[in-house]
Amino acid sequence: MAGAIDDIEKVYREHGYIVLRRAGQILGDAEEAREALQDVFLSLASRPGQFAGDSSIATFLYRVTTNYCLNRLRNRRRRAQLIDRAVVNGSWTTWAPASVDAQDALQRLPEVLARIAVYYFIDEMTQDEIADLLGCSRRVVGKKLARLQAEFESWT
Amino acid sequence: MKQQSSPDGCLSNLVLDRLLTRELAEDRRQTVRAHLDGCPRCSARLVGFERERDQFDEVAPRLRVRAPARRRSSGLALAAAGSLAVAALVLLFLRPRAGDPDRPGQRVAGPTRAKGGLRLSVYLKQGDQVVMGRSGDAVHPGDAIRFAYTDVTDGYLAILSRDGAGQVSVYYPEGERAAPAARADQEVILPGSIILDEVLGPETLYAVHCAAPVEVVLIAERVQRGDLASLVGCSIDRLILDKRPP
Repeated sequence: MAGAIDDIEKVYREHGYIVLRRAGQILGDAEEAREALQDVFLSLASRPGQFAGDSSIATFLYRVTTNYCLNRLRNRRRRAQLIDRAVVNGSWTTWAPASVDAQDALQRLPEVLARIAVYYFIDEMTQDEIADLLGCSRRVVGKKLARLQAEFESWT
Repeated sequence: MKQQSSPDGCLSNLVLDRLLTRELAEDRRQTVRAHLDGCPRCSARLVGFERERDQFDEVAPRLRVRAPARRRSSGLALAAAGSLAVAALVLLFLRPRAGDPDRPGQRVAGPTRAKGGLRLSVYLKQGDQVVMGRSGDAVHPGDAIRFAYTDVTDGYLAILSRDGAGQVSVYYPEGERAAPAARADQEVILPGSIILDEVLGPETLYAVHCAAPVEVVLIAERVQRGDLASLVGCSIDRLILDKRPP
């Protein structure tokens, strides 16, 4: 598919489940995920040109959903003025049981690291896939993951 | 740290989704299928994704989006459209005059709005339809509004309104000070929505973005006095909705 999206409703019907699942995983709240689903597609409807056609629709939706949810988590954190430190203990591959800590961590991480954490731990992407999505080299992703690890260790 | 968060060779969610949406090239699809044939874990994940896709219509709200109207930049263009004659009159009434920065209807608020700076957007929920609102659009009591902003650096944001009776209301945030707003090159839709009350007439919406924390009550006073331009270090954007009887 190339160029701007012409039929938002069709994309919503065929790809909406991707946004709903990812938003649920990142936000940890079904109702917020439904709001995120609407917001992402409303934004796409208002500015269809933001999909430039240089990636697949699924890849594009991964990117915009991640950005939207991380912004939302940050706003949530600011509103609540969370000050407690999270305890992040290693792997997040079992995301659901650790969701509260993980979401707190995503709110605290610098933006780039938070994105990488989502792609790496939630989406189980390889470093090559993350590099493709972020438009950088695998080496850069490796360094960011090392920084991520250091960040976690500094919290414990 | 593990070099990969999933078991060796397992497929990422993105690859599974792209398989379902038929976005993978043939050679990649074959390697993915080969992996799935020998990997119960990934096969089970794929089945779960397929189930989510198949049940999406049942669990997700229906999307009701109308394509945004073209920006109405010319009164003459509006007047030429017979069916839009009434809307044209409203827009002409709301059209700002040059050199009158605080006059209702002006979207850009004079010297405080940096070029390419803060932009306020609204989404209107009218009945079961959601549309993007434009300055001059007609709204009705009971309509719901969500706010969005874009093109800001890190700072603090507040959204207020002055209704047709001159009453000033703070819509965002709920606290006493403008809320932190992260840098946003892409649109950020604020959580929650407001419901329009029964007061009719032009409803002016103000987005105020400041480099430093500002008391919302101070912003409200400036809105009341029509003196937002005196807020130092703040960018302002506004739009006006025409609230009419249902």
